[in-house]
Amino acid sequence: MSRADAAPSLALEVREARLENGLTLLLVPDPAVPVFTIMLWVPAGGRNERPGTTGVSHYLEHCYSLGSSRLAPREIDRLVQRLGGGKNAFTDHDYTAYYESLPAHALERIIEVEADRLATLALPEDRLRSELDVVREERRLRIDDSVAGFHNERLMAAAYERHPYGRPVIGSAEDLARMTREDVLAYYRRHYVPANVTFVLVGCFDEARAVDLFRRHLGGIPAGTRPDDVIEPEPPQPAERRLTVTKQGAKLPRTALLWKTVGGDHPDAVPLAVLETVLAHGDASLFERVLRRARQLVVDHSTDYYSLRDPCPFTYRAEARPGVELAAIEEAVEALLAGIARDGPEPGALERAKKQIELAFLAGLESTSARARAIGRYAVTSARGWRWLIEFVERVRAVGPDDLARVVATYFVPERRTVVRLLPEEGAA
Amino acid sequence: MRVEPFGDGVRFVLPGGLTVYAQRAPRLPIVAVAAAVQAGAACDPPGRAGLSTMTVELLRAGTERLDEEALARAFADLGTSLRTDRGQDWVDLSARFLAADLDRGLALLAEVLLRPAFPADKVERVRRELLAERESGRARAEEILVETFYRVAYAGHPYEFPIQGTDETLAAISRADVVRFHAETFVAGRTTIAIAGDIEPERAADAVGRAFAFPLAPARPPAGGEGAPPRPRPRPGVFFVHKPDQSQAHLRMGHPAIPRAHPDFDALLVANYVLGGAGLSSRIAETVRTRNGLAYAAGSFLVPRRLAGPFAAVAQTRSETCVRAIELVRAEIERVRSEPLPEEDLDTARRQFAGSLPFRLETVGHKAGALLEAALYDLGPRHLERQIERVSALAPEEVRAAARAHLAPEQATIVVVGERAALFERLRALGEVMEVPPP
Repeated sequence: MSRADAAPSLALEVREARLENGLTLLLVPDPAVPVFTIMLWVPAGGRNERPGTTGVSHYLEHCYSLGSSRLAPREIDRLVQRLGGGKNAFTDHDYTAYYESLPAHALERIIEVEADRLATLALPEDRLRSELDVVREERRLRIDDSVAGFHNERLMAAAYERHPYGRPVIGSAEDLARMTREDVLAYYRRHYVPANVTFVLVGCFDEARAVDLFRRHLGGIPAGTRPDDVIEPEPPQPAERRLTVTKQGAKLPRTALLWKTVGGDHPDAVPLAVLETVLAHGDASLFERVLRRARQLVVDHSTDYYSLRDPCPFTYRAEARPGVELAAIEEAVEALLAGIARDGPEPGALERAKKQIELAFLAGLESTSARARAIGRYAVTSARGWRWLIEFVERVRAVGPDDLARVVATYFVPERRTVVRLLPEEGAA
Repeated sequence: MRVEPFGDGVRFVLPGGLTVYAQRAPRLPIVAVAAAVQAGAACDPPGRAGLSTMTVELLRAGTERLDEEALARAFADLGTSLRTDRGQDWVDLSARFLAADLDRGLALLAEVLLRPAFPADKVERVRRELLAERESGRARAEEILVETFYRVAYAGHPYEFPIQGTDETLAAISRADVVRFHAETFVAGRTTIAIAGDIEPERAADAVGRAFAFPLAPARPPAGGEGAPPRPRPRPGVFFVHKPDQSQAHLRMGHPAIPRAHPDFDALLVANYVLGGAGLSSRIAETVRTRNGLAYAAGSFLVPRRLAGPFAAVAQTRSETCVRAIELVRAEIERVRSEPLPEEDLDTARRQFAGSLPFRLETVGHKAGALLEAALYDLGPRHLERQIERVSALAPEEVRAAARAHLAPEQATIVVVGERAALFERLRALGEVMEVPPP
């Protein structure tokens, strides 16, 4: 099969529109499906928080279903349920996003609902209190009682001393304990304004009618201003950082290596993404073969490169096999990376990675919610906007072996590296 | 080979009994292939829990023709990787291919399923991996909770043991056990393949016929415990597992319910939906999470299984609020049994079942999965559509009757994992508490 045949169809037609109040619409009409996904993207997440109110983005995400001028608390949940759809929301470092997937006939109803809560969120005091308890339980579940969650929180804090990526998106336990309604309200008023937010709509709808519905229901909301967030940059790191933490309840030691790389708009973000695939995607990847199978160093491990707006982490996390020294894992990872910096990837590895990325990209176009998610994420994290999604796949094809060697040599250096080991703490059993 | 219509696709049976389902979905040039073999943990022979899991893990460790690394590269050359899933009833193998690569993909899948090499050194490695996985799991309350629940609520039943085996049984498994288990269970008559995507069903039939065109062993019953499917006896009571580092209590209360193919399954599914299966809108989430702020996640589920899968309600909450959460959950289970379902609640469930259909069949993976589900539980063509019709026709009294017949809060096994000093005395408010050792 020729390269051209293997290439996915990139005819992802995104129509862009802007209401007079600055609200951005990204529309992908697709008459081949009977449903649509509507997704609100707010470029406000952990990155936009201040010390003292960490976790406010995620807490607001929880409160965003607690009612508005025309909606009772949780009424949106029941509405979506009765329409036969699904909904969810998530908060990350760079953004908060909300979506509903629904049958085609529900478009106007859901746009009314989204307009109502964007303009008139209620935040009733009693509901806010019990929702804060829920968030604190979520933190206990995901971070305090979770070996992996605790380890990751320490890793990010060690790597980013000034930049907000070092703070937990879910919020510190102390900040959550003293979070107030005023904190949430101020954050909502600052970030949830038409000038700042984007709606992505993918699926079965008529484009002109959809724009008209958005204009009718959201066009009257005052524009507000796009917040001018000043993010403190992370100062250069003079040398490798190393830290060991202990955790009661952990059974096997863990290590995590994090290298600070570049923001998602940097040209090197593309070879770094290809590198992640070469290292860690699938049974044939380098780390799976060497670290898990040949040398049997790890029980479980993961490699993550998830591009963010600001210089973002490339992370390797591993749980050691019983009896394996963490130093052996760290040295093996460094040796494999040094091999790529010296010789480039192994023969065939780059071509395999490119084909994996193309097939994954195609599969990511299958559902309306996956499309809305990919488009929205690039729309709010990249200066190039959603087009970066298309460009990204095209640029992957142009990555050569030398590019991988170069990015490893450039970014996988001690001055960008943080290593946090986690050891089980002997406690009373 | 006779090709017959099956819903929107086709069904055909190859010589030897291998059953294949195929459905065309041409939106994107990709194809999902999923194979299920009735060789799950319920087939593990006595004293060999984990044999099914070891066997399925070892399928990736090389074939007679390709060693482990060559096999991994062969899938990666197609831009994909083989996914293997352990299970109680079935083990699943699945992969996604570009449509143009389907023939090569099917040939690889056939090789993995039917010509594994089971190298002795890989058997040892996989055993050590599974033991290490168990050691790692001892740090996670949720894994302790699930394993303890099955150990207590399914004592003496094929679902009693963890799918991955126990330290003792894993140590006892030999390469000969693996070879024999594979020979007995990975046979045409126990295997079903589903294909969905950008492919004509006739071409899919042809491709599968060629890929699987080698002699297949006749089906013999495996040596495992699946031949004796007793309905497990309930083990009511409170069972506590001490995990000293926990700030939260993880709780699960439930019991064996009914097999997926039971005529009451849909009615019970609707009862569970209203009770705890509808996310934040369910009664358990509304009372435990939204109104009282006791937990981040609270709900209930009914597990579809070939034999009686469990019904269980779950939550994680602070030690001080654990008993209150259990009481709230128990009251909600009691209410769905004793009060007729309000017409509005039933109507919401009907609408949700009907409306969710397009989302349950949105991707080629979903479509292949739905075909497999129909085949495995013998649900017939268009089973999702027909389930919607049945749910639409349910009366409130039928839902309550199913809940009364199959939910038994007074018979429930309650398992709590948490910190002893904070929990043990509090739990006595519920009756006698039996502390059981962690797995």
